[in-house]
Amino acid sequence: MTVANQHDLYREAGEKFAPAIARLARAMEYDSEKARDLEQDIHCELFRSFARFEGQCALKTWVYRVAHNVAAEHRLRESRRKPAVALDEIEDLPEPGDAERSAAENHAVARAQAIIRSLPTLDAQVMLLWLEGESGGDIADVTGLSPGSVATRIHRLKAALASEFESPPAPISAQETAR
Amino acid sequence: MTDKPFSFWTDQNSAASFSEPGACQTRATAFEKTIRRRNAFEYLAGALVVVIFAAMAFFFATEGQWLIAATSCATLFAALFVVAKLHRDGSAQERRPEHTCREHLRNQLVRQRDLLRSVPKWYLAPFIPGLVGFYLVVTANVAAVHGWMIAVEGVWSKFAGTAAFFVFVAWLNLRAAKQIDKEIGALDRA
Repeated sequence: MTVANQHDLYREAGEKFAPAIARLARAMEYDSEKARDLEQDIHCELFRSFARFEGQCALKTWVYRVAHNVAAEHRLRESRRKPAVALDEIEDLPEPGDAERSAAENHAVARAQAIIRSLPTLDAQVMLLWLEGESGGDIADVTGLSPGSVATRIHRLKAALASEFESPPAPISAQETAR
Repeated sequence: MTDKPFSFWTDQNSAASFSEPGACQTRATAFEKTIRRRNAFEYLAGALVVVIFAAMAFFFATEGQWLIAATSCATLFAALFVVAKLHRDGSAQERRPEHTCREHLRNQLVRQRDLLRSVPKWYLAPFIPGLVGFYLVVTANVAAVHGWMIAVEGVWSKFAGTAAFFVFVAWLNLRAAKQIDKEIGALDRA
């Protein structure tokens, strides 16, 4: 791998996946400063990792693996004290607080982020990739879970969340706020 | 798959871009900062122990109390062994974030579990000769003046307290290792 190739891969990954990585960082870390730090850590880890990239897997798989693993390490450092909630118990989660709601662009995003932060790491990773629109096969490639296990998790996620996310409430307009 | 069933999600941060590659050459990631902090703490703790126990060994040696000096040296070498082990294991850590998420998470958990599980062997055991030796020498010194009954009576509660502390630390670490072992089991079943 030449340095030029490393830069090319980094540029290509940036063009395709920078928004998804920004969403990943903000979903995994509530604090906006720390989320920005995490996002930059992912960029740097990706840049360094491309020195080892020799087409072992698709670029997308590589990028998601590095990004999710760096985010998982961050979770392990920062949020180990918070107990995770099993996928079956998602419906029992409390609604996001006012501060979180106002910080997010809308209620559905805040709710999704709150759920992701509460899930065990692998479940959170499956949910994030699912929200990005990745297929079960691609999610299995990134996470290392069997396709059947991914399918089961997605099924549970759909059952618990789809109805909520399909029709997110409209953002409150300035006029409505003024009433 | 290019289908985006959750546009409320994928519409967020659509203007995000990567940091400049040059920024990565000067930036230490959180992982690297953690390693640096830990290394700095290890060197500081190691230096402190070396200075204190070397001074004790020197003092007792000049006083002609060779046995106490020897126990100080034993503790000093135990501390050096522990710091060297921490540093060696930390430096040998292979970093491959491109592994699958499950493999990466499992590797991290296994490493933590093994480290905690072996604490009694590499963290506590090396200090035992120095500590036991110290108690024995002090007890013998007191016994030489006041007799063994008084010497043992004076030292047993302190010795029991030290032993209880060691057992407690070992138990805490083994309990944490067991908890992580459960997490690994859950990961393997996933």
